[in-house]
Amino acid sequence: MEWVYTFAWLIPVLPLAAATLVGLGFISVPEWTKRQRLPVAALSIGTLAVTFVHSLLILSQAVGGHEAYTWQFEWAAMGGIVVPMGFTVDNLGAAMLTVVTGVALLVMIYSHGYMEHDPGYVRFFCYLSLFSCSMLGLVVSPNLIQIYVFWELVGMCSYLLVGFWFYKKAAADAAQKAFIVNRVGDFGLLLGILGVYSITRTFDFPGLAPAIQTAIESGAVPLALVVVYCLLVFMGPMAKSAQVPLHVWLPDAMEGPTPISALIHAATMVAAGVFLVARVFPVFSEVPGVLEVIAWTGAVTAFVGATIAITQNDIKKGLAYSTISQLGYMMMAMGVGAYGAGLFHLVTHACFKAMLFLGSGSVIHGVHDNQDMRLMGGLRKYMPITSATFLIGVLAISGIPPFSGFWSKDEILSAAFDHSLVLWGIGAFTAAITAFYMARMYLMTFEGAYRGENAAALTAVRAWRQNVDREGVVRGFASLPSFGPGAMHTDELAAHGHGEDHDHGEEHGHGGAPHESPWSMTLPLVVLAVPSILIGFVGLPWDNAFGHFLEEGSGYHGAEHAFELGHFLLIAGSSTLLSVGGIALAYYLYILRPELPGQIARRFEPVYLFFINKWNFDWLYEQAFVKTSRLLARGTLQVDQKGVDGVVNFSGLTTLLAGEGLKYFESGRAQFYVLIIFGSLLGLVALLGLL
Amino acid sequence: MPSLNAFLLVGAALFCIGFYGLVTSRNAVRVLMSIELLLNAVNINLIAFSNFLDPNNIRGQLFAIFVITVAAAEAAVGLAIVLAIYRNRDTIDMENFNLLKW
Amino acid sequence: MNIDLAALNAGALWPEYIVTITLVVVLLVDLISGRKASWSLPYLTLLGLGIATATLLPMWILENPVSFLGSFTADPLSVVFRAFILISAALTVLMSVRYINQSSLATAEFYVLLLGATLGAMLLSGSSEMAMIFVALELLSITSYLLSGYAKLDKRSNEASLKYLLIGAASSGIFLYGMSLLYGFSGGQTQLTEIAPRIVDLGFPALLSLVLVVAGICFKLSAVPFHQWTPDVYEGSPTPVVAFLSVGSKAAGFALAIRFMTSAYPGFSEQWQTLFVLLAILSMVLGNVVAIAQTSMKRMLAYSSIAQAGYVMIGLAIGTQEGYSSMILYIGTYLFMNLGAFMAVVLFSLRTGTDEITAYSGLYQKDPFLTLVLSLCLLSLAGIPPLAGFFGKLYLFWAAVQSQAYTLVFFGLVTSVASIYYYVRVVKLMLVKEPSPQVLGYSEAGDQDGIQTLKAGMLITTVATVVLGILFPPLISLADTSLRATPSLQQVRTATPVSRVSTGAEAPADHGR
Repeated sequence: MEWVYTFAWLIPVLPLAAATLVGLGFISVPEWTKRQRLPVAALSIGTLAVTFVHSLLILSQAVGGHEAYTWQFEWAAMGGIVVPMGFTVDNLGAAMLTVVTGVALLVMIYSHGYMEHDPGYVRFFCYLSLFSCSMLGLVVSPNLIQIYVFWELVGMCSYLLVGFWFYKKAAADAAQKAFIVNRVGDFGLLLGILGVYSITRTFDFPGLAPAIQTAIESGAVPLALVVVYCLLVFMGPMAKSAQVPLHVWLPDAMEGPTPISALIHAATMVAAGVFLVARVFPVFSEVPGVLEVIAWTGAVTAFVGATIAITQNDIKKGLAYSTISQLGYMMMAMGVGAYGAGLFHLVTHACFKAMLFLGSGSVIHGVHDNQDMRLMGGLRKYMPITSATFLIGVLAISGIPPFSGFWSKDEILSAAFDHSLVLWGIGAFTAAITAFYMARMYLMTFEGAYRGENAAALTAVRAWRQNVDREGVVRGFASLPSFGPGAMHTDELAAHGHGEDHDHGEEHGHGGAPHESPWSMTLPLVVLAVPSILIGFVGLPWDNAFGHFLEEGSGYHGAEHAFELGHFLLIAGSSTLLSVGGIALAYYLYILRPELPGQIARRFEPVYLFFINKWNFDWLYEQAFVKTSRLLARGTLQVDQKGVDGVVNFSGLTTLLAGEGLKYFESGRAQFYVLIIFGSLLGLVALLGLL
Repeated sequence: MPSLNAFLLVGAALFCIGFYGLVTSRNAVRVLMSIELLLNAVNINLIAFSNFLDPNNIRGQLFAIFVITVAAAEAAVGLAIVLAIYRNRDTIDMENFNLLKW
Repeated sequence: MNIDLAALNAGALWPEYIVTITLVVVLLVDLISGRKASWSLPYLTLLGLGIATATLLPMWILENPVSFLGSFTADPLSVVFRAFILISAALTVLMSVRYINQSSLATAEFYVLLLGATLGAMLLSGSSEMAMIFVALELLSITSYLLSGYAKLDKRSNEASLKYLLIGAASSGIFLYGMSLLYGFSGGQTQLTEIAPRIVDLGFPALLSLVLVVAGICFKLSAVPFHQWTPDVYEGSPTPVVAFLSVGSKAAGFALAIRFMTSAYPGFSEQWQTLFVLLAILSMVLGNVVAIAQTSMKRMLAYSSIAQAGYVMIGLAIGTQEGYSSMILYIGTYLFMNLGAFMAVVLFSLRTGTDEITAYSGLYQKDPFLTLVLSLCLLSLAGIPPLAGFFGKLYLFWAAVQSQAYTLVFFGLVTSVASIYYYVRVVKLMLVKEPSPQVLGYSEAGDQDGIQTLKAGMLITTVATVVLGILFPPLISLADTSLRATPSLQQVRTATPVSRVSTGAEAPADHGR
């Protein structure tokens, strides 16, 4: 079965081929291509299915103990700098490939149902294939340069996909925001890559860590410089994996179609950051201090994300903040040295978060494009499959045994516990909050009575709109919301009842009872539910198959813990207790005493407003960066218009005038031309004669 | 027998005359004839060199035959083009041929 | 004299024989079947060109490249250029099918003449003896005159053809005069390599012949100041013909330039390099500057091709191994991007009947494919990364930097910045502006047979323009091996490269003392 490795390059190339084919169709015969819905979907899904099977084969080989495989060729060599390209498949890559192709495949199948009425159906599949290609290319990249190339491609695809409904202002803005924030991180990443190269003289992953080590030991490079380079490299993952303070793009990116939220902003693209950290983990662990920074960034992110998630009323935004929080967990795991635990959480999270997002999409689809949870409720009756799978997801993310999230989160918490009590404290507390807001989400959506037709609820939500000012900042309470306070962006609310939020063909009228989604949407939910429940068992604390698998492949041995029952019971027991507590609290507040949350929020109004305004990050950025850079831009514009433009215009004008003047030498008379030839002949002879 | 230089001078003079005719003639056929002069100047050069310097291999004379042949072809094509242009425009005055300029 | 047939080494010219056979077959088919079979002629031509390319490729490195007693040298240098010429001829065929159908002119003549021009250009790339060079050059030239006058009912085509003929004939007169002097000065030699040692000590007379020869060659390269026919002929001739002239004919000219200079004038390398430095700078400046002021697309591309020839001449002017290999590479990329641009122009003028630049505005809304092809090709010509043209220019300038020819690099960089203006102007017009009346009346309804081949050609050139940039490293090593296996260039390599630009400025002063 050697061929599955030697042909691993097919994995990114196949989706690329599909995307290229559809893209070419778009360029040459756009109208015809737009009508080829089924063939395009079949092509995209088919190629991805093939890559999924291929990835599974690779994974099975890797589990069987196959060596890592790398193939590279010299792509460009100039002035001593050699830039290789190629692909590499090790155990880490094999695991990632399987996760990415699997989730992407299910998302594609789901999209077939979700995007059915969208006029951009074919374009959507083209982008999806392109995105899959970029992400898979990133996973198999053997060196920093290539990973950077695919990194940027992933960023570009996310721009295209988030802004898929580009005619909606919010979507266009969100796409731009995602792109710009990611550029900030990418800028650091590129600087970091070049800086690291200046020390190591290599881009290959295996060669980095030893070279850094020798450089530090020999004292050839100041330690501070190495730390700075490593932190610069970390800026890339920080932006892509939405770590504080570069997390602001992710919630806004929910403006994209829901399958995209599931694919990009839950399972794959945001995982790219964690993946890159895993790839360069040996380097980071050589340099003191870097891991500490990563761990704290992760912890803060986890906490911030969770606190904001409590206050969200938009189902997708809530999930978005939960994603940020969970990514914080993964980073924290990396930072405390629990390399395997972080990746394990990445895998489990990819399954259940994709399922949750797809479930939320199914809900939104079922209640006619409404995203406000205050207008949902009681949906369990209408959409049993969605609610059942969503419940599984909630239990998994809350860390209730034996669902997958429990095992991975427990592993992270236990590693954090060994590393620092404070980190563990933050992690455990966040776990409790997580359980609370996820339970809140489930209860508000699926339990109780359906409020979509409830006039009182509608009025309350409309009244709430008064509290939100033009920039989306919540100023206070104008009236008492009936079901848990929460911020709604004005645009989002305006969308409700008009159905313009999603440009579906809308053959089903508004109002009416919610309905279950078609099979193509529920099937992926059911399929994802299986690993969400079971996948945790590959990483049992006393028999950590997943951890061993990764360690064998990388040759790197992370913090090895002997399993102690007491330790396990302490950590797992406490976190489970906290989670159960969180869920119970949510049940109490939202089912038994639904009037309480509003009162609590009023009581602690400053804290509430702080959370609901997302810790004021957006406001801060607006003041600090957007406004100052506008001022700066205005100043530069002045200088540019008065000074630089003058010079440029002058030389441009001279060139233009020279062109206009010289062209009249083309008199059109052939004999004049011959004369010129003869004249220049004499001139050249004279010139050479003089030399 | 005149010296080589004399032949070369004749060739050079012929070349210059040809060029003069090429530049100043208004009649397109005369321009074509001037081109023949240019080529014949070359032929004189070639044959003179061949006679004086390369009497055994006479490569220059062979070369001259090629030049004559090609010149004939060129003249034929040139006249054909002049004919075509005459049909379309009823003139072969070089002064009129500046539709394409600037 | 008894000539051993095996010593002729006639097998080295198989590609040329096949082109000739194709030519005859096309003539015969037309003669026998007449109009019935005229649809098959382009495909016959393509087939012939394909077979010729197939037979050419195995000749990559021949044991004994000298053929026909030294008249023809089938060294790798010639193979590369012959391949370029074959490819450009094939692409020209792709773009002419529809053009000829639509202009309802005789089909067979066009392909016969095109094959004749191809044959001449191929022979020119390999010929190493003066009579042979002359005959090949005239074969190429005369067929080109006829091709440019091919639309014989069109006044502009007539005029273009007449101008081309007059100036071409005058130039070949000059070239011949130079060769006749060379024949005399070398004491009766016509082989380029035999001439070289005999004129080394000659001084001014040899320089006189050098200038005459360079002038003759530069007519083919359309280098300033021997360029003035170019815009007029390009504007008046049928567009596919222009495409071939701008690429195939020019490639043959460069092959001739490299071979003639390195074989016959190795002793005067300083002088001819100075000449080419001057011509390159003039071409780059004048071509780019005047292109800005053009209103016709074909005329703009004519000036652009003058400027591009200037860039290629950088490689010739520095005269190093890197110079030649980057030159070959640039011609290779130029082939695709320029032909792609011309194909787009052909398609546009077929549908709208105009070549005015302003008519292209807003084309994106009607035909994204055409817009994409034209934009990519123009941007590549402008040298925008990551397209092939960028890498081509990069290697040219890099080679110039390595041999300290900073003046050339300076002019190259400044003029390529200026060139971006007129290339991007077209792209901007197509993408941003409101559609012009011609574009509004644009329809694909008239599409019949022949459009597909044109589109296929556009696709090929565009893909090549995009992909070649990535494949540059292997192409460079390919070009290097082709040069290393070319004997006439070996002497140049061993000769110490001199920085011509600086000596060019100082030498007159030295002479005066």
